[in-house]
Parts: sequence; C-alpha cells; structure tokens
Amino acid sequence: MGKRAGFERSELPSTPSSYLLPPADLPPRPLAHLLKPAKIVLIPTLVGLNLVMGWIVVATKLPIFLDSIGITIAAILAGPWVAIIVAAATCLLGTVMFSPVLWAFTGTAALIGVLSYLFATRGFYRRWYLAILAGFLIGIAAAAVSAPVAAYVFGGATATGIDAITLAFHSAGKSILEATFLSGFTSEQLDKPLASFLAYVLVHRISRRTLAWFPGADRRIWGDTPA
Amino acid sequence: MTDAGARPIAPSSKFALYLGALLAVYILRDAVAAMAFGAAAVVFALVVITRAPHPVPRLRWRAALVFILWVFIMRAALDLVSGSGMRDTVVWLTAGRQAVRVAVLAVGIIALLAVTTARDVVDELETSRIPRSARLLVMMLVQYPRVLRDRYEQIVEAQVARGADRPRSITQRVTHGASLLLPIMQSELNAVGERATLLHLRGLDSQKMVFTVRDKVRGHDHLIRGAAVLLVVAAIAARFMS
Repeated sequence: MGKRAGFERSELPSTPSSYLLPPADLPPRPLAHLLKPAKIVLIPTLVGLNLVMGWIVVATKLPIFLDSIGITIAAILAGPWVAIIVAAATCLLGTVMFSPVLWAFTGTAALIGVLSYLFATRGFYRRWYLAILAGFLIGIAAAAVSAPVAAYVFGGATATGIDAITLAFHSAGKSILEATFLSGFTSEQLDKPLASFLAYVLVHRISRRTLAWFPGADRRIWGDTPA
Repeated sequence: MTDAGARPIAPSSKFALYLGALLAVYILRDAVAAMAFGAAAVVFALVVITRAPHPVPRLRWRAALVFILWVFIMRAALDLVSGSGMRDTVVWLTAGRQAVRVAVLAVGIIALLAVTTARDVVDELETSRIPRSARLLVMMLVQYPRVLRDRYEQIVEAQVARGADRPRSITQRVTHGASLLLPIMQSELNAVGERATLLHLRGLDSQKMVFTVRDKVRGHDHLIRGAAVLLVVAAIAARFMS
C-alpha cells in the first residue's frame, strides 16, 4: 500500500491552504483561522458519518458503538483540534439523535481524537494491522476514561447492551467502578479496532483532490514514499 | 412555525433551561429531593410537549420509556447482586434517583426537540455575533446528519421497492448498513475538496465579520437564562446544606 497506481508524487496539486490564508490587513482570529473551508466541510461530514453509523449500530442492539470512525479520520486528516470538535459535536448531536447518555462521554471521544492523531503521526494508519493495534490501545484508554463516568454519573447503568456485562462483573464481586471498567474494556476491544480499521480503509481511498486540502495528511496516511 | 409578529423564545434560552434542570437534578445528592425536583421538571416538559406545534413520534416515547425503565432495573439489580436486600429502601431510592435523572435527560430532550426546529437554530445563528465560518459550521452540523440519514433510508426504500428484502436480522442489518454506508461515506469524503473549493470561491469562508440585522436579547430570554442559572445555584446550595 506504499504507492498508489495512477498517481505520481510530482503530479500532486499544491496545498490549497497556501492561498487561503487571511489577508494581512485583518487581525488574526483564532477560531476563524482554525476553520478553513475544508475543515468547515469536513467536520459536518465526519459528524454525520459518526451519527449515522452509531444510529445503525444502536438499532442492531450490539454491545459496540462504531461512532468514533469520523473522529479517527478527522485526526488523521486535519489534526487533533478538528478531531476534538468532531468528537464534541458527535456526542452532543448523538445525545439528541439516538443515545441520551452520549454527552457524558465527550471527554472520552476527545481523548480518542488526540490519541488517534498521536498514532497517526507515528505511522499507525499506514498499515492495516498497525491501525488495528492502534484501535486496541485506544480501546484501553477509552475504557479507563469512560469507567468513572459510567460509574459515578450513571451508577453503572448506561442503557446499552454493556450493562449486562457490568452486572455480571459486579455480581462476581467487583466494585461498580471495576465492573464498568471491565465491561467497557471488553466491548471497546471489539469496537475500537474495528473503528480504526474502517477509518484506515476510508482514508486510504480518499481522492487526491480532497487530500490536497489537508497539509501533512498524505504523510500520515502513506508515509514518506519515494517520488 | 411562529405567528408573524410573535416573539419566540431563542433556542439557546430553551437549551440553557434544559441544561440548568439537568445539572440541578445531577447535583442534588438527596434522593427524595432529586426525585421531587426531577418529577416537577418532567411534568413541566410534558406540558411543553402538549403545547408543541408537532406531535412527538410514538417511537421516541417508547425509546425514552424503555431507557428510563432499563436504568431503574439495572441500577436496582447492581445493588441487589452486591448483597443488599429487597427491603432495603436505599436500593430503591438510589434506583429511583437515577431513573429520574435519565427521565429529565430523555423527556427534556424530547421537549426541546418538539419546540425547536433546525430552522430556529439557523435563524438565531444568523443574527449572532460569532464568526461567519463558525456560524456556517454549526448550520451544516445541524442539517447534515439528517440529510445523510435520509439519503441512506431512501436507498434502502428504493432497493426494497425493486424487490430486495428489507434487512431484519442483526446480521442482515450490519451487512446491509456497511455495504450501503461505506460507499456513501467514501463519496462524501471525496466531495469534501470540491465543496471546500466552492465555499471559498463564493466567499462563504470570509474572515470578515458580516452581520445581518442583529436581534437584541429579549426580556423573556434573560428571564429563562436567569432561571436556568438559579436552578443550578439552588441545587449546589441544597447539596451543601444536606
């Protein structure tokens, strides 16, 4: 997967962001500078992906979520800040659309974005097996951060299929916090590697024209392939 | 949606009230106080829903009810399996408090959606002081997930109309969802570059502050936002006094 057929590096268009910098006479505005056109379009697209995927998975009643694919793609393409925006928007809109408990896990979603970016910069999304490994590691972190939220905010009952696993661990003598961590760990190890793999598949098929809008994304996806 | 000349409550004020009630019911430590406040909030939300212009879909009510019952049963079960007796009132009070919290969460969202449309949010954003690019982002965020979901459902319906089986089992739903959604998402991601170019060419990503007619925050909006803050402050005071 190092080099794609039909494209040469020399054929790549120059980065559009070079001519989209704000004019010099305008004072810099942090939020406006962050929201360049590609990001304005990318964020709703990825939030839509997360929500529709989450909505379909919730309808299947499986103990997985698959609502972090867009967060991972945002981290790979546009960096951690955009991933955090996608994470927060997914959780807030997802609360309205299909899961009333999702808002409480905004921190976990943001952490997934930051970790995905760190793994992307270290080349974890250049190979499918490394993407799955990144998913496993993200799953451990996500379970650790989600457990206190599930235990203290919802008392261990989050109205998902995972509650049954929490109950099983709690009846085995574990505290609520331990039970929520273990149940989260169990489900995240299925969910996050799958989400990472799907993110890998999607970013490796993105068109050159879209990729050109995100400086550095090419290196995070394909690595330093020779021209 | 609103009669001409009427002064509707801003969506941000409605959201502030919802958030205030939600925070208050979570802050209250005493189970009886939390249940009493939560019940009052749910009754208020139900009154709002009955006066809403559009009826709430049955499916949404059923989902909220299942959610509340599930949380009550699971919360009680977690205490019962850890050795508490069936006659222990603490078990049922804790389960009741948790169920009331999620009832405020779920019924509050239903009420908020019943009286707030995506158009209302867009209208308020149009007259706000936030940068144009951020306004555009929020408008797209509000509209796009619904558009994508509708597109997915239209394709499913079109396939069913042509004789395909409607996905029913879990396996069918997963394979069907993945086979449809992944190509849709791939095409949407590939279109990001073209849409960004169009956005830039039309100047919609302008860094300049462009204001349309800016509505002043009205009296009743101040009142509602003040009530939301008051709810949170009262809940914090009650928590420390109990």
